[in-house]
Amino acid sequence: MLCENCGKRNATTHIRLVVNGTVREQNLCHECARAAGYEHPSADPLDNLLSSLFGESASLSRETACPQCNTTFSQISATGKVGCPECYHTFYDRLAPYIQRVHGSTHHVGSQPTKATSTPTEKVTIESLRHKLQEMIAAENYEEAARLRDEIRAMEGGTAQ
Amino acid sequence: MSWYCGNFPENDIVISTRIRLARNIAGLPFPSKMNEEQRAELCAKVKKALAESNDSIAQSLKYIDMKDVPVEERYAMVERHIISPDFIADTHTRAILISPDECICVMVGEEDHIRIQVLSGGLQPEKAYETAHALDRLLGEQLPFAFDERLGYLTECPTNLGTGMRVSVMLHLPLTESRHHIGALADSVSKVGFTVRGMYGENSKAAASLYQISNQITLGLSEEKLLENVKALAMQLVERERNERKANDTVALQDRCLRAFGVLSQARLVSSEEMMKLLSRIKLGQSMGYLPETIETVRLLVEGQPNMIARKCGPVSPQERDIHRATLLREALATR
Repeated sequence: MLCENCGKRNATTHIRLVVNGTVREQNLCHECARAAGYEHPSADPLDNLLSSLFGESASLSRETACPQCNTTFSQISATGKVGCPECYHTFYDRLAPYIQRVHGSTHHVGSQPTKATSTPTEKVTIESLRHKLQEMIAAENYEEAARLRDEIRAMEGGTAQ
Repeated sequence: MSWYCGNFPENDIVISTRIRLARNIAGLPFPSKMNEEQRAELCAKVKKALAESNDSIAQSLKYIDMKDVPVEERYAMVERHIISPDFIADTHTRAILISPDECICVMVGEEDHIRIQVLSGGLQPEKAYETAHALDRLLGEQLPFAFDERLGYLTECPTNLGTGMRVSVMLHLPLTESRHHIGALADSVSKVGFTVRGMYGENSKAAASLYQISNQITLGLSEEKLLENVKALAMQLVERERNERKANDTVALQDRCLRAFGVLSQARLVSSEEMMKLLSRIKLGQSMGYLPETIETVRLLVEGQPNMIARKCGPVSPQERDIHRATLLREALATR
């Protein structure tokens, strides 16, 4: 998509303005966004590296905030830090590819706490994952389908031991 | 007995093993999002959980509010590897629970709500984990840890998810280093999910040839598997260093080690850098059989650090500190 202001460069910044209930959206290139005063808050090249690890342009993502701590995904992406345990539930789908890249897995094997705790993300069963896998294949989302397939394999491996 | 005093498995090369478990309490934001009130509540919760336990380890832990610790002592604690540099960097409410020998330290309000840390001398990952695990169970019985079936223990930084466990082994690798093998080592350990970094020093060249290996991956591997991996990797490095030492048993090496002993047993002014360089050679000389094993090189290395000297002698000028350091070393080496 080209920048709606200059029409020359690719749009990299999505701006959503809500004024008295009226929503106005604009897609601008880096330079035009900067000229309009919408510079990405982080100028640290390391933060940009972090964002690229999260695999998503923080400025393009629609801002959903964690219901518990109000942290947004772009804040997580800029700092590499998650706001509260609930954030993992809120942003699971977007965090999962990053977690996969860091650890080579998104499936915990190992000890569990003695006391029952709140479980932010739903209890995962092989059945529920298979169901989701079918949905992803139907939606032609093969990247996510491959990730789910690996997760199912890892769980089956874990159960078999 | 402290982790730096005594004889431990593989301690010709392995200085220490550290286990760190990251835990958080469900329903509370992570520390960087906490206000002072929530931080105080967190400290009180952890203190109460351990105080109410009948366990002997839990009862031996002393609760220390970090604001009651003088600045020099905080830095001296970092030099003794009890707390992390990050822990003293900020001034928010935070506390530690520490054992009398300082091998066990529970940090409250660092990057995660709770960080259980157990240090042991030499290569003893299983033993250190046993203690850390016992404390984890104790705390977990009283406090609802944030845990997810898929992601394991939930942590502020996604790099610590899963077991929340970091195993670090500090190794003395002077000959591996002098043969320029550290770069290759860093490459090969990274392939198996570990990192290597220099201790005390900056960049790739480590002061005193001390290197730390630790696991990067915490999710998808069980605690047992991680312990097994770190032990196997550390033993490979130990064997490689031992082989280098055998192949380099020359007069030149002996001369270098004994000269280090000569300087430190006579010098009147010793800087911290010089101490580390020379103690490293003395430690190497001990494992080669050139020098007696009774010299406590690791203890001296810790006690000769700048803030450890200041802790003992009070606020002194850098030159006075070098005098105190020289005396500490001379006295320790005099009877040998």
